[in-house]
Amino acid sequence: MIVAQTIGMDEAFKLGAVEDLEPWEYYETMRGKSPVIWDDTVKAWVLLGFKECAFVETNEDQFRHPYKDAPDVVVQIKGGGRNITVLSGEEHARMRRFFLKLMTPPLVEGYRQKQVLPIIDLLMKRILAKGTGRADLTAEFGDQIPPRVIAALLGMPWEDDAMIARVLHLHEEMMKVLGTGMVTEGPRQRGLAISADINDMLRPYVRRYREHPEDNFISQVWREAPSEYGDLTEDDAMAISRELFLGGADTTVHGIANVLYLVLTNGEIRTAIEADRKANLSVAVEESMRLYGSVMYRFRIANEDCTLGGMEIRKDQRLILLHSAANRDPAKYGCAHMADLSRKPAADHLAFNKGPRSCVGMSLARAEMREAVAAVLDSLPGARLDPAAEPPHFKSLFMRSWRPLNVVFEP
Amino acid sequence: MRLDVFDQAGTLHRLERGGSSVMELIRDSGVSIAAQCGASCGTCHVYVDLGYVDLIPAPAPGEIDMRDLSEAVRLESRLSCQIALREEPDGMVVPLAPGTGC
Repeated sequence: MIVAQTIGMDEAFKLGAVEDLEPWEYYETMRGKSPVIWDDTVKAWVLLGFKECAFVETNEDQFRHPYKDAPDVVVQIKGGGRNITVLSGEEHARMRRFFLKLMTPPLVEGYRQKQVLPIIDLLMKRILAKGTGRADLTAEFGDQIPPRVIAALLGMPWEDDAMIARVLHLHEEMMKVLGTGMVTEGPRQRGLAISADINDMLRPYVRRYREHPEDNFISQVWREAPSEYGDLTEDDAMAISRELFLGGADTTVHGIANVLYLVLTNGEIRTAIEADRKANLSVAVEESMRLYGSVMYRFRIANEDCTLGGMEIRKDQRLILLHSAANRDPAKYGCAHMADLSRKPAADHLAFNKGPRSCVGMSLARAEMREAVAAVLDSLPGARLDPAAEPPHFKSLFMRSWRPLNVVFEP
Repeated sequence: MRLDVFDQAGTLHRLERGGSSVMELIRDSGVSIAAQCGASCGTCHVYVDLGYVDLIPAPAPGEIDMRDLSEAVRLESRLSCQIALREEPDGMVVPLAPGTGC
């Protein structure tokens, strides 16, 4: 086991100790000491238990989102004051309602048919057209789906390979900045530069659809957000669109990689899906998110002194909710490290957060993950990891997925 | 106190009181309900037996906003996370709405 050889389990907990390494043995050992543990390297309490994470996320009166009183520079990095993540209270609830109106079940079904399936079909045709019987299902397939889907929904040219590559790169870089918590100058300056690049990419479309609305998200921002907020400036529309862009373009990239990894490496799960896709594919997607997730942790700040997991938390201390650990908490899940298609309720995990800041795009993300798996099973007969190619690793720290996914199949 | 829940496939689950809301009782009993957010996502949408609608507190404006974003909304639609269990009449029948499964 890589972790046991590399990390001193007796040393104080360090969030960054498992960067680029499989973290779960480390987390389990540390949770055994305490579900809430101080990390002096990041000056924060790290929550490793499900109960503790869920409690904090569903009690925003007691634990605020760090963006609530973020400095201007962080608001700028996030795209502006109307970005949903920097709003709180009633303003946040109103913006959330606007986002949810874009993601109702009938609308998501329409997105699945009109955007997700055609994009997946195009990507699969490209793989098959190579005629090699080999593909990297991260770079050539899964990584391409979410940025193209959200670009299509925003009214941007989703067929433009160079633009999509830039969208993916910028949002990946942005997530690395967000994962630091942006408390020091280095990440903040990097975040500002990335934010400016994303704004440059998005602004022409925000301007175009203000003047010439069409059937897309940016036009809906201009058309419908004023009913919640009154007059909308260009910067307001940019801030709202920025989070749609980020939320749509990045996290599901990792979700798709992780569910494909599960299907490619767990014969029992794959056989169950092939035997009864309707019953088992959705649960497999949930189990992949529980086991591997996309976003490994979230930040909160204590509003008052309190006790969590037996630890005394002081007002204004920072909390890191380590979903990657909590989603395998044995106090919550039986055989927590196993993928189990009989687990109920399957969606009771933290991959999409809990509480008032749970992911508004979760239905679209699920649709993309399910259709990605279905397309691989349907179009790449016998697809399996290529024993001659680089194997997948669970890379990075904040946003993580198994990659690359080099496969061979019958061409 | 008992709650009769019909899941999305029409199977009856007779649940005994537990948890603080109808959603928690359904979820913690292992019935398939997404119930993602605990207040604001609409994934715990249920239909309350018409005979009981007037016996439980009416939905707050925030619940109505979220409820109306759900699939197949009807007159008796509620978000089960917003129905406090202690207020339930015994034996209320609660079918889960489409699109709430997990």
